[in-house]
Amino acid sequence: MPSEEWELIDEELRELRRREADWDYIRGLPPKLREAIEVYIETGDLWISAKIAGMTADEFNEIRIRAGILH
Amino acid sequence: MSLPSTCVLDACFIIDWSRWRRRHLIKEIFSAGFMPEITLREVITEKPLRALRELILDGWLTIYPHFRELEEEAVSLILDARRDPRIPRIDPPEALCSILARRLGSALLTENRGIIRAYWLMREKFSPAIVLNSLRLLAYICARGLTPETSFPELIEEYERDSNHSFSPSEVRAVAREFGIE
Repeated sequence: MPSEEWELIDEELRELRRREADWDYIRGLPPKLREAIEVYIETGDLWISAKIAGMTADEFNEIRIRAGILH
Repeated sequence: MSLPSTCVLDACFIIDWSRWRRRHLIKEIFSAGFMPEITLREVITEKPLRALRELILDGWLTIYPHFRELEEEAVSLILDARRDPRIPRIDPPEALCSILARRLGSALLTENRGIIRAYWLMREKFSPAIVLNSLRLLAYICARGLTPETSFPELIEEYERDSNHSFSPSEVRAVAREFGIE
């Protein structure tokens, strides 16, 4: 797959995460968790976002689902 | 496409896959699975743990202990990937999974965009392992006729609904082309 196609896919996924996110829920989260969620929305990287939140990837995934963000 | 007989499971893959109603199909594709201990530590909620328990009790899944030399190779992979700006970040657990898959000649199952992109751009660093995300595994399941009553788009829809995972429409089209199931 050409590099431009990968970039298009990453952008589509980022846009989906931004669009589907429940921003009211996210704004109500404690700062550390909110930062982690915002990193996740931008990167889609579950592990690093979980570590910023001080959680395991699986625990953070539950927060992601509650925040309406697609993985 | 032929797949190796074994696979290595990354946490971001199993967390979603374990929610899919047909998750057992993984055992029809691979005769055994491996998961590094560091990855297992990332899984703590009920559904993924129940799925892992089933796979362990079946004798299908082996938890792989941590070895220092795997860690050194993983750091080297992270640094190699970081030199190429086209590759998103690779984190240590995913890098360890890649090194284990390379040692075992397995398929690595991951959703990590960095690993997937690195595999396409520097395949020699992964060989003989191959890397698949859930989308490609679903395409393989479809191409092999393991779900004859369900089309690829239906399978995608079912997986997305069960797992709260979402695929990029462009990647779905590209993967359908890759597997000849357009």
